[in-house]
Formats: sequence, structure tokens, C-alpha cells
Amino acid sequence: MKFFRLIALALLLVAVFSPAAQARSLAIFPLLDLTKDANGVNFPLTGYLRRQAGKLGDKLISDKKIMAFMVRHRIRTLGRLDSQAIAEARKELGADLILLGTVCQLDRAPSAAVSMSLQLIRTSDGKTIWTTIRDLSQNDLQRLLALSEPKTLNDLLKVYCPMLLASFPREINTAGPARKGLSLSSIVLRPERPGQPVVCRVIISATSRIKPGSEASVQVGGRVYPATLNKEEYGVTASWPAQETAGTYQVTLVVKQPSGRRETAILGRYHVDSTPPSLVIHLVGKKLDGLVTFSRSLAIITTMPEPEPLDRWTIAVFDKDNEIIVDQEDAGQLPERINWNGYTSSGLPALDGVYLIKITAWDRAGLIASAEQKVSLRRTPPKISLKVEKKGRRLRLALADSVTTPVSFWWLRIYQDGGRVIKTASGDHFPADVVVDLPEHADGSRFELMLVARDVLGNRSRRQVKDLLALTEKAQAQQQHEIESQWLEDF
Amino acid sequence: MIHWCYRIASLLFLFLLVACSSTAPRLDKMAPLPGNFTCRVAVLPFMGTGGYPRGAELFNKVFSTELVSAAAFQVVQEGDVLDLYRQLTIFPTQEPTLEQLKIIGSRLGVQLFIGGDVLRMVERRSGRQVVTELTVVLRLYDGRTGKLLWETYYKRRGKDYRAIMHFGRINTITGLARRMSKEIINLWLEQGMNQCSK
Repeated sequence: MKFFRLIALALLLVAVFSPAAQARSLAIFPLLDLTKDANGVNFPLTGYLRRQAGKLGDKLISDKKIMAFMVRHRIRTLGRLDSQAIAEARKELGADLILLGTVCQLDRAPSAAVSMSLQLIRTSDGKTIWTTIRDLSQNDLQRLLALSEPKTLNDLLKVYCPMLLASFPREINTAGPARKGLSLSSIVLRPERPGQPVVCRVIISATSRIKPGSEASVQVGGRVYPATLNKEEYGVTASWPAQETAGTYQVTLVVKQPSGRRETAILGRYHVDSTPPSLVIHLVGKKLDGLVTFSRSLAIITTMPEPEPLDRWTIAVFDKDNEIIVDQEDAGQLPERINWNGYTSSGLPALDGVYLIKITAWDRAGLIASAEQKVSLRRTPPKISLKVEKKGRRLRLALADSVTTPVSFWWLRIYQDGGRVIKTASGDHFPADVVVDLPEHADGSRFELMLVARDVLGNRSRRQVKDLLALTEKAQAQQQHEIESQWLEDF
Repeated sequence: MIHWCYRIASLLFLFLLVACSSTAPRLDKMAPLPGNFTCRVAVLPFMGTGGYPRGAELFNKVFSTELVSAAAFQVVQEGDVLDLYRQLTIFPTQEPTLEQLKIIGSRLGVQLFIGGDVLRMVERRSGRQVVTELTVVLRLYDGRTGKLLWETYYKRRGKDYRAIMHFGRINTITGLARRMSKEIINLWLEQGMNQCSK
């Protein structure tokens, strides 16, 4: 009898103090390697970490099981898991703890360096209970006379890994506190146009799946609407008419379990909008004859005195016959600035004239706002007429512009044979007269004229006259006579 | 003699310059923290790379790790945050709007969000030494309203931490990020974020 008692006591002691009885199951997921890619993987270091973690006395879950789990749940990103995947890992892998890690740095040369971060997650409540990050460089281990300094990355890892896991917690309450509240894996909240129903579909995650016999409802703006639980009771559907009064409404899901326990989760908010957006258009350009005028590019700036999110917007440009020459649209907010280069939507340059620019915007409730403004396009450069009169050695040039756009500046230069400048003149308006005194002994010389003018819109014209004296009335009459007589001879 | 005076004056000027440079993170408070703060925070994906490959992801990992280590916060799983980004069709490189922040806050049940930008991240070799530089901006948002509450700007170099000879010098960008993260978290705790009621 005594012998049996001793055996029973020994068995009890073995059961209580055996390491297997206290071993926690640990799943080490493949390490994210940021040195390779935003989602790179480092299997060699994962294996190294597994071997080091194996020495801590925990029961490691095989890497094959972990890989199969990742494939089954389509986990494509490393270094992180969501709460649902953590709960599934507890259920399917039997993991008490999950170790996730990231390789932040891994330099081999010229000076080896390594840094990793680790995160230990308790699967019972999905909480991170321990984290560490350590960095080590060859330069950190410089010693006098360079004795026993690590030479390679492998030498460095031998020092680094024990350091990394030095603070790994030995005693953890793997049960943890109970998970509170509802955890939702998907929410669709679709507010339609005013007056139409708001639809809400929710999928409750595996971690907090509601029990059969539970009742669900949705609270919106102080009112309670019934919700439908589907057959498997992990999905909730509800629908209610959108409110008539403008404002923001919060949607809360309420689940009443058969035990009487009430759990709530905020699903989101939606707005009821009954005011159309306001839109103001500003055109940036020179004002001529009461209209903003441009030649190359027009900056159109739209502002909303009361900003609000927009669904879409369009911009249209109408010509004098009310035909649309530019029509563009886009979704979302209006850009801060739109530039019109004076071309039509088909890519042709628009003709000079007056155009109407109209911007229309729709807010998320479908309410419309529009703003319009007239604009003038003038691309014709200054057209300068030149009259030349010669009296003795004095030339008189009469300059005039036939285009109505004011001139910003003009300048001219007259060159004698060989490039000598004999006259320069400039001004900022037309008509203008320029008097030129020809140099002495210049009979038979040619005088070349270069004339440049720019209007206030940036349109520029350049005129070059190879023989200025040929423009005098006498020379032109003589030339005309020569042409006529030549024609008569040919005839 | 005058030559020496100039030398001493310029040395003094240099000393003053070094002495006046900021060694602490700059904190701007736009609004007070929520009163019923219960330590549950979410770290949003950081933006910018600062010229370093995957700089934002690296700093995010380091900062989140230090935040959990500080034991004053319950940090929401990064996977849950990115799940919501996917559901709301927000790219991790994109800043959520106020509306989206409100939804994320209510779904995750957090009192605070932490977002940030990595403005500059450098690690290069210069002779036998490693030069490290990091400039970041971190922001605290209200979990319910999505409004910006605090903003912290911090710029440091690895050599700023050198005590004597090569001792104390930080030789990796992760080490610098870790040190700076700790200092920022400590500053936040000093400035009133230590209201955790576990």
C-alpha cells in the first residue's frame, strides 16, 4: 500500500513539475526583411531565431504547419497579423503565443550591422505582451588592439542573438483576460440618395462570433431599427430610411446574446446633406475691356466658401455660339487650380474671342453647384505697320499697331552695312515716330531694321527689313514702275 | 596677438552655436489630450522615406516597438490598422481624411492615433565611422474626432550621442531611430500622456 502511495506521489510530482506540462506553444512566423523589400522574407534568420527560441523551453510549432496556415488564410504580408488571424492561429495551430519579427538592417560590408525587432502576441486576447528591438554594429564592438573583434556578419550574429532574446519573458499568463466587445471583419454602410434606404451589412469576426438565439439591432440618431442575422449567425443586415433632417448620424450595432449580455460596436457615421455646395470661380489674368484676357494659359481657381466633400465635377468652355469646345470631368474634389491653355478638347487652338467657362460640381448627396465667368482669348501678336519718309539725310519712321491689345514695350535697331548700329529706339505705346539721321557718305549703303514688339498678354512680333530705304514712297513707286515696265516687255 | 584673439573669439562663437542647438524634441500642442485617456492607441503607417529605402516602415516598426516597451500604452495590432485601410481604400502612403480617421477611431476603439512623416533618414560611411541622421515629425490625433492635438519635430545625428572618443556614438540608423523614439515617448509622458489606468 505504501509502495502504491509512493508511486502515485511520484507520478503527481512528475505531472506537476514536468517541463512539458508548463511549456507554452509558440508559433514563430517568417521574419519580414525590410532590407530586401517592403514585404521581403528572410528564412535563414527565421531558422536561426527558431533555434535560439527553442532553447528557451517553449514548444515550437513546426514551420510547415505555419506555412500551411498562412496559405490557408491567404496571409501575404509578413511582420504583422490582424486580430482575426491571431484568433485563428490559436484555434488551428494551438498557439498560445505568436512571435513576429522584422529585420530592419542587415549589412555585411564594409562594416557588418544587424538590427531586428520582435513582437510577442498572446493569442487568447490578441495583445502584444512583449517587444524588443536591438541593433548591433561591428563599430560598437571596437576594442583596444582590435582583439577578438567580430570580423563577419556571422560573428556578429553569435553576439547579437542572445542579446535579442535576453529579455524574453519566462513567465506569461497565456490565458490572459477575456476578449471584450464585438470584433468586426467587414462593414458595408451604404447611404443612398435622401429619402432612399440606408443599407448596412456587417460580418462579425471569428473571435467574437455571436451565439444562436442572439438578437441584433441598429441604433441610429436615437432610434432603434431591427437587424437580421443570417443562418450561420455571423452576418448582420439592416436597412432604414435616411433621415430628412441634415446632420451627422452615428450607427451602432447592438447584439443581445441569449444570456442577456449586451454588446455594442460603432459601425460608422453618415451625413444627411440637404444644402447644395457653394462654388466661386476666380480667373487669374489681365483685365482688358472689362474681361479677364489671356493668350497662352489661364489659371482657373475655384473655392468653396463652405468646403465639403464632392462626388464629381466638370468644366466646360462655351464659344460665342454656345458650342462646347472644352469638356472635362473628374471624380472627387476640385483641384486647387485648373489651367486652360486655350486649346479645344480635340487639341486644336481656339480662335481669338470671348468664351464662357462653367464649372459644375456634385456633392455626395447629388446636390449641384455651378459657377461661370466670361473670358477673352487674344493670341494675335502686335501687327506693326511701318511708313518711311526720306528728306535729305534724315529718315522719319512712323510706327503704328493695328491690333487693339495694348503694347507692353517695343524696340528697334537700325544697322548699316557691316553691322554698325546707327540708331536704337524703344517705347511702350503705338503710334510712335522715330527720326534717323543717316551718316555722311552713306550713298549706296544698305540700312537694315530690326523691330520687336510685345503686348501686355505676352504676344510677341518681330519684323526685319533688309533694306529700309526700299520702303520709302519714292523707292516703292520706282519699284512699281520697274515691275510694270518689265511686265509690258514680257507681254 | 590680434590673430589669436580672433581664433579664441571664433572658437567661443562655435561653442555657443553648439551649446544653443536643440537636443530635445520640439513639441507643439494644438489642443489638449482627451480627458478619459485609457492608453489604447493606434500607430498609423508613417509617410515619406527621407531618402532611405523603406524608411517610413523602418521607423514605424521601431517606434511601435518602443511604444509597447514603454508599457504605458496598449497599441492596436498593425494588421488591424492596415485591414481598415484596405476596407476604406486608403493607400498606406496616403494620409487619411478627417472622416476616415473618425471611422478608424470608432472601429478600433482608440483614444489616440499616432501618425508621422520621415523627413530625412541617412546612413552612410565616412572613413571608419558611420554617419547617421534622422529627422521626423510625429503627430497625435484625437481618436474620436480625428483632430490634430500634438505635433513633435525631432532631428538628431548619431554623433550627437557621443560621450568621449567613440563611446556612446550610434552606428546604425535603427539605433538612432530607437533612441529618438524613446526620447519622444518620454517627452510625451512628461507632458501629460501618463494617464494610463490599467
